[in-house]
Amino acid sequence: MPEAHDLHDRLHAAQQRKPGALDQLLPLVYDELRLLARKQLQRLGGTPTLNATALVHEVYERLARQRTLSLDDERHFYRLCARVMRQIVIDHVRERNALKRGGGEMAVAFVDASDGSNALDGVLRISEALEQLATLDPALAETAELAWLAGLSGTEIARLQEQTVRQVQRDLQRAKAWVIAAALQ
Amino acid sequence: MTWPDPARFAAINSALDSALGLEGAARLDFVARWCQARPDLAAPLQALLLAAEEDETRLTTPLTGALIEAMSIAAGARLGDWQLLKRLGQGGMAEVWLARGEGAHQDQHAAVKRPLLASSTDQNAPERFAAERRRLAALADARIARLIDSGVDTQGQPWFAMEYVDGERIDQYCDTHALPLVERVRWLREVALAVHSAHQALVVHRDLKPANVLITRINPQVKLLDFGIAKDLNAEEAPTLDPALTPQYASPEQWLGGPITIASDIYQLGLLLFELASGCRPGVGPCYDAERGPPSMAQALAAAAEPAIISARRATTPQALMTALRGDLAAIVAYATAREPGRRYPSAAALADDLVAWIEGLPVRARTPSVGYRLGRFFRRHALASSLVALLIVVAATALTLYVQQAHRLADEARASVQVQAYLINLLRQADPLFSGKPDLAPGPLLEASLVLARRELAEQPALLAVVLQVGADAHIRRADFTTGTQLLTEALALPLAPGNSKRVQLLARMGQSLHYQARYAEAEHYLRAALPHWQRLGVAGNLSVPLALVDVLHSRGDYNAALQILDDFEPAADKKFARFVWQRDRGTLLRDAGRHGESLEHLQAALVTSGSFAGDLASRSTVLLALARLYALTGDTAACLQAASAGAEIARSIYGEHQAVPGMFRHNQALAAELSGRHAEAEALLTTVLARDYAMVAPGNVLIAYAQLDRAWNRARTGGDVESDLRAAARTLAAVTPSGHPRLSEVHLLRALLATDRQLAESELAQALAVRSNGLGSDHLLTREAAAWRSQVRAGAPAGGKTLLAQRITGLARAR
Repeated sequence: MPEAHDLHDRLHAAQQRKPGALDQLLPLVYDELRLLARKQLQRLGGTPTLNATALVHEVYERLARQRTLSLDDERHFYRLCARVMRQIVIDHVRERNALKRGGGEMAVAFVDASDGSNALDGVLRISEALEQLATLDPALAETAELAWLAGLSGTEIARLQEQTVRQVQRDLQRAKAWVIAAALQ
Repeated sequence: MTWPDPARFAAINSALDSALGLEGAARLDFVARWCQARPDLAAPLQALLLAAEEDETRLTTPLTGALIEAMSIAAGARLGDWQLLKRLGQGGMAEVWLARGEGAHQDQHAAVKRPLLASSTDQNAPERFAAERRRLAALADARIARLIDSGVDTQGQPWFAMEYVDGERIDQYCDTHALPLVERVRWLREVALAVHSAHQALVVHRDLKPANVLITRINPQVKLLDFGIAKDLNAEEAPTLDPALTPQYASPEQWLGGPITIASDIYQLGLLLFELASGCRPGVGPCYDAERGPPSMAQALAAAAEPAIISARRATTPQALMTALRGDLAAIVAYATAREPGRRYPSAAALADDLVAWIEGLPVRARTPSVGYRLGRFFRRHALASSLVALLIVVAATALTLYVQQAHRLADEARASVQVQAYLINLLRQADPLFSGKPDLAPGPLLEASLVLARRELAEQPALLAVVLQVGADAHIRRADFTTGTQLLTEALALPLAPGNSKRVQLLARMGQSLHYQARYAEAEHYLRAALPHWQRLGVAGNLSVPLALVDVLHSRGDYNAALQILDDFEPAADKKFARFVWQRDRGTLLRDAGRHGESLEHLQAALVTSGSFAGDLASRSTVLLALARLYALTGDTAACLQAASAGAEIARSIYGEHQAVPGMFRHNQALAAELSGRHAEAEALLTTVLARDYAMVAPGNVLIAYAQLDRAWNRARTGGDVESDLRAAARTLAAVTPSGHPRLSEVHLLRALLATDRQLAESELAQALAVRSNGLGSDHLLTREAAAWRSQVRAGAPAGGKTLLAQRITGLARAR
């Protein structure tokens, strides 16, 4: 279980571009998110209905309680969270697809009332499009992930990235255009 | 769109950014100029500009859904033995997860259902879930998703694991397989049969819709899902719109907060048929009219945006589909979705039958008006009496209440009674228009219709059918239609019920009572004796109805000693006050007729005292007075007889009115008192009234008639009227009641001996009287001794007849009778 100050130190190390620091941080943030998710579950009586955005904010608050974080720290942290979450989604979908291909009783997708059988493929294509966007326009992908995965509002993103809200909204529209065109058209 | 290489991406990305920064004509200008400059990149840019206008939720909804699911699983969300794997969906009330079992459920998969947090404010939710668990556990039909496991989480929220169904929604299945109409109807029949099976297990689904009906992928078969809001037939419905229903598929009574019965499911089956057949959703679209109900399938298809696609999915043309939807299928939908629940198919099985008829091209039932509809028309035509219908309802309700009490200990039967209750209530509601009606007519057609329905619908549930037949029999018996009542009871007794089944015991008892009313004493005794040992075993504390009915029959048959024996076997405890009162009264009456007058007086006087403690229960008091009056007559206490008879008659008149069999019995007593007082003309008039009017209401052959005839003969012997015709009639009746010799048959012979003009005849009659007496009552009986003494005198040479002798003898004999 990572300690918050540990996370904080590593966050600083990553910011100072120490080699390998970011790679070490990803599992830490992942663990932290999972820990908090479990706590949230317990608090909600085990109901598996999590609020991902609330989780991210909660992780951040745990950090902030330890030390005062700079805006850079904060931005870096949320960026990390968003990336972790994208990774979680991709892993999850790939695992599920593996399960789907794995044969046996579970070989065929479960069809239910609320979503079509291709919802899983949709999620996978969206996350892969985000990954691709990150290689071509990292800043744009970051904005999109902060909004769509970390659940930050336009105003919060504008504050972190020191931009106007209007610019953030225009960027989000552009990111949406790329991802939808690549993944869903 | 495929991703461009980095250089092209940079170019397009920059152009996209610029374009998004512009609005309207300026943007169009910019894009046009840019595309002229870079024609190779024009297509991707235009595609991106279109995508930029899409709704962001197309991305965020799947992403957040997957994220929540992934985080929950990563956090190890589990319930009981179930590890949650995937969120399958969420309804208004609950969410469903695909889960993998551990421990006892190792290697199993299940759909785990639990209430949403939002529903935790609903205080009824845990109860609703508990009820659902009980119901589901009781359902064992391959077409209904099974309950595997259930439990309560740390917060006390219930959850349950249901059979994991790998299947496809029925509407999607039919579409992807391009099933023609016939095949779709065949599937819907399967659904109707599954629903019927649930109804037989006392479960109403209440939320049938395509999303809750799956076809399994391997070995396609119907599976009904989600009994989350199904409710027991017996649950009281609050008159508010249930938040747990799906508005689009809600039946009118669900909207109106009316009682939810199987009729609601039949309505929803009708909507399902509508949707599967027409490809249109009923209740929405331009044709919908809240007042007139759903549009017809043909109307909906005509208004549909793409009728060609709908018909292609049914492997037919729009014209052919339109024709098919206008035919009998429309009648079936209309019948199933009738606005009034009572006008729909009486059961899901009946709907299934009609679907088969449609498939086979046979006439469908929906084309002929329903029984309920015909009944409704009948009642409106005849403006039936509300009082009689009210009586019928009272009869049914009373029978059911008794039945529920009896079945209380047996869970199965209690459940059965609930279904019967729902069934009858449903049925009686068909008679609704009556409550505005006026004059009196028999509620026969309603009864008949209910029995026809019951025989058809409950053919495989003998215990339930027996209850309905008994209710029907009771209603007929109350209307003095004993023939039909007995027929129904015979039919019920022929049902395959175990010998000791409490329903069967009740039927035997009811049959005995009914036969007793009909003066079929020997048969009545047979049935009651058959019921008695089981009754004793079932041991309904304090309920003496079967032993008392048998005692009553034995009393009528003159077998006083056997009747007393039974009373001794069933002596109620001192604290069972009313049972004790009835026991004392009946024992006193028997002792009276057995000639044990002293004991009789003790019992009857004690019963009279006890009856005083039943405030307002004058009927009980009057029955003791009835018994006492005759006792006083037999013991020669004229004043007491007169007083008891008058007081009893007064009460009887106030309860039953003037012209009834019961007040007739008091009039009969008053006649005895008059005879004892020497007012023979008054006695004659009273007895003639009793025979001609009051006892005309009891069955021919009833001992009451014979007793009144005997008493009139005694009175006439004093006044010189026609004795013999009364004696002959009474003798005939009593011989039929007790072929071995009714004790009171001796009076016929005694009177004939008294009136005999020759010694030989007198001796022969006296011999017969003595034989009957000592056979039935023993040689110690007062009348036996009196008759024996007289015969000795006649043998010793005393005159056999004549006025003086008559006057001498008759007082003693008349008293002793």
